[in-house]
Amino acid sequence: MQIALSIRNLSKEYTNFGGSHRVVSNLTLSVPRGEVFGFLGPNGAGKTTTIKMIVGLAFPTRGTIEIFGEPSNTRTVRARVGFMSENPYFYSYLTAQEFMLFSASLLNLSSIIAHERTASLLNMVGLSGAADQQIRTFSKGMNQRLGFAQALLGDPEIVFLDEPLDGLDPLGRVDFKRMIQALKKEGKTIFFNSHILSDVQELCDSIGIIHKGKLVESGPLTRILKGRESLEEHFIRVVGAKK
Amino acid sequence: MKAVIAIAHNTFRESIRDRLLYAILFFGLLLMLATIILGSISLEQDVKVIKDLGLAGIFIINFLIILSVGTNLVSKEIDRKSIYTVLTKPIERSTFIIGKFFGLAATLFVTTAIMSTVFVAVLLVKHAGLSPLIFASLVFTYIELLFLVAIALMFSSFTAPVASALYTLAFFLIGHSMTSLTRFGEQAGPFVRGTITAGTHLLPNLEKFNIKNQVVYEVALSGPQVLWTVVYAATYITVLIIIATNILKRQEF
Ligand SMILES: Nc1ncnc2c1ncn2[C@@H]1O[C@H](COP(=O)(O)OP(=O)(O)OP(=O)(O)O)[C@@H](O)[C@H]1O
Ligand SMILES: [Mg+2]
Repeated sequence: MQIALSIRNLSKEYTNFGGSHRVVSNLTLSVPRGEVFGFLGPNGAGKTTTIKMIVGLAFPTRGTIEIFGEPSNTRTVRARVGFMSENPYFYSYLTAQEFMLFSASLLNLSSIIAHERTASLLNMVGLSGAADQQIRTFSKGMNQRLGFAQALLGDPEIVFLDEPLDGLDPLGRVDFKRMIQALKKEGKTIFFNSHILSDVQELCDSIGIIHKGKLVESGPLTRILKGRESLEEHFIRVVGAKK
Repeated sequence: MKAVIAIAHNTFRESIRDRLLYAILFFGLLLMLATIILGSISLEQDVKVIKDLGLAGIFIINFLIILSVGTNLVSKEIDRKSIYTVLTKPIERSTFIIGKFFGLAATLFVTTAIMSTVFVAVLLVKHAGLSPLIFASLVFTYIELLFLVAIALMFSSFTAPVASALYTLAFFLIGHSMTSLTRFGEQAGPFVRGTITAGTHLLPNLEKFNIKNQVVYEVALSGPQVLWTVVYAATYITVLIIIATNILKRQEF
């Protein structure tokens, strides 16, 4: 079993006027290739901060992050990674299609492949009809869909999605779950976080729960739930007890 | 290379779709036409006045674009988080900065070209005669604008737009006061003189790009003068871009 993501002793401290405070604390975690991993935790637990460190937007205070056995902050690794941020925002004066083609150039895709993938991904996320519409006219859910399409543009082997279900309508969520399952079938690794635990339970092979920067639990979902409770019940029991 | 072009193209496209650019440009074109009226008021002097005001107008309008668009170049992307999707792609952060620079440079090239066309048309209507110096002065103006883009870009990589605009303006004012600063230094004590000498060598001397007097009094440019000005600008811009890149490399989001 190959490891797609390996995080070891990861810590992040932010220093401000009041001194330093630790947002992620000694986090150790690994995700096997081909798995769907759910990264859970209450608001402010440190999920976004962890993802930002993985994709190189923030720098760890301590610890290491490896993707497919290589340090995560190199260009070669970034070429194999897809990322969608929390509340994604894109250039408002570009159309969806222009934005996808722009992203494709950053991925160094050839023009033919860029156009092909743009068309098929926009179609997949249900934005074909809005391809020539400027992004500033997009609704929240449309932005979210574009963010997802953009994350898959480079045909990444591993994808990090920060709250991908946020702002999607019920049909959108069903679509999204279907797309995640399709990606899993292609052998891709998916790491995402969400507060919609019923969806997480449906999708994930494994989960990790982070609370106040510390990993409180991680492992295969079946082992964690033991078939006795729903993920939501479990989450409330585990995190609620720590409050 | 492809990524630099993509970022530059994107920056250019965003700026030319921004209404603010058109407002500023429209104001600039009005200014060009106003030079005709102002020129005719001053009777004999009208050609000189038109040249003076026209060249100054082209510069000021583009400088306003730098102060409004240029000082936003990086900070707006950070504020809006659009930088997330760019920097997580397999590119270097320097690519982002260089692309931003050339993107705004392209926008300013277009606005300068539009205003210059109107300016030249006004001169032709007024039978003012077009000396090559006019074109040289337009080129120098554009080089100075590139210089100011690099300054605005550097500030934009670590401060908010208003602050970057003020700093860029300060650089501009100091850059055009080098002669008076040097003169002031000559009369001062050794410490002040030393500081000023160091300052004038370190800070950009924007007077090098100002050949408006040469244009108005028809004093020809020399080859070395042109060459040195270009080399000076290119070196300085490169240094500013390296500084901006290093600032961005340390940034977290
Ligand atoms: N740049 C920063 N400077 C200081 N503190 C920060 C910074 N970014 C995040 N934090 C703090 O880190 C903590 C974790 O934030 P983070 O965004 O990672 O939470 P999260 O788990 O993603 O929460 P949510 O579910 O609400 O998105 C919060 O207390 C937040 O205030
Ligand atoms: Mg978050």
